[in-house]
Amino acid sequence: MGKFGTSGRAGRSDEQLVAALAQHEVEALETLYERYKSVAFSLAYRILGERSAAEDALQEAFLSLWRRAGSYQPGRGKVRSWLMAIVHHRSVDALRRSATPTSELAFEELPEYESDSPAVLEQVWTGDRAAIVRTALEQLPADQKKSIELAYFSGYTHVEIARLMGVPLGTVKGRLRIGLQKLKAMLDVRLAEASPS
Amino acid sequence: MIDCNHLGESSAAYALGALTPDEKRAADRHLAECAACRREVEECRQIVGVLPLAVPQATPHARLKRRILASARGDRSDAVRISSRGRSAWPAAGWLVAAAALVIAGVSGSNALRERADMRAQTAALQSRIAAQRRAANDAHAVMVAVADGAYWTFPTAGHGGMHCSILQPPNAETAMLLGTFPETPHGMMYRVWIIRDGRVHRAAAFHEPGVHMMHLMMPVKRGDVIAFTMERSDSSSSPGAPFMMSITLD
Repeated sequence: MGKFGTSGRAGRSDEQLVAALAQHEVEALETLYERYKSVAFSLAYRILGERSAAEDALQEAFLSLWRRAGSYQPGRGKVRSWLMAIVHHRSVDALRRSATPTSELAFEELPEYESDSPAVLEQVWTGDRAAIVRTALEQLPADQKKSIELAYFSGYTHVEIARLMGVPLGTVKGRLRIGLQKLKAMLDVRLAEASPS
Repeated sequence: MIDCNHLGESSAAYALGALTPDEKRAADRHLAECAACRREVEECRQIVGVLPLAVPQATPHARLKRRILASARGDRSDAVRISSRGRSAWPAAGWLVAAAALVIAGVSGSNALRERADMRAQTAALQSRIAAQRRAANDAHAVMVAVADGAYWTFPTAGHGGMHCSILQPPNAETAMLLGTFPETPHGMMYRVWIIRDGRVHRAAAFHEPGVHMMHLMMPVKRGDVIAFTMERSDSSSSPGAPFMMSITLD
């Protein structure tokens, strides 16, 4: 199993580890931290551009996980999704220099997953296939890629992106939506090709 | 604006967190009742969910792990190293967290970003306030380092009007002391703080304001030291000029 897998050295799934967090098992937090520290930190660092601020965002995210683990309900979303959403939320919040700190993002605020993530897409987390995601994003048409990056990594609203890029709001909405669709299509193909038959 | 019936093209912006706050609230209301739009948003979320992998991978400093795990351990009252003289039921962890929160409030990393922006905009009339905030940030840093890596002791100082004291000894940094609920001194008097080590008394700090204080001690502390307090008229003498009103041992 790869680096984000549910087995491996620590031997417990994310969900099992969160159950252990609810029992105040610090070792479970350490295992989760080791599992996701790089991808979570990289996301925060990409957004904030400053190591200390990124580390603060990461600390808040993992401590949220620690403190709210008891409210986790398997089936309402993956632990990984929640963790990344917290890191993103905290990082963008810091970037926007909001006047009032936002509250922690609870498990209950996650959308209910009506179906499992597509098996093909799941593979990016179970192997060293992050390069496929990077390549796919790079190969999007420039306007779509830029719109997605401004929204997700720079924390701009679509209204702000329209202003920045000098295009109508509807154009930005379309670029975001089509960009995500193309990204999914490219990932489906490339991950299927990379999968052992 | 959100489509009056469905999110439509805004589903991607929703998943990316790119709606305005008003749009987000309207979308949430709609999603609560529309399964079709929830499915659309979920499809977008699945793609957005892999975007963290699209950035160059970096590794946080090793100290971050220590900070996080130390904070988590601090949440567990049974994991906090406590030395107390007096009531055994003293909620030491709670006091430390509360005391630290007083100092740390508003100076976490994200707040520090805001503070830096605020400071640029401050007028000269507010410069003294900014200097105080800087001192608080430095003190908060000492607390964080101490909690993560160093040693600390906390005391209820029973029998002295409920006065509280915490000593923080970060590695390679000044010793910090948090004091709470010390009563106001009589006019012209001040509290003096002493470190007694191997029978010798060393001057450590002085203060006279009531309330909560965080200050640096003039020398590092170590296990076995005694922290003692006197109330005196002057801070000029190098030895106590009044009897010790209370003392605590760092054991």
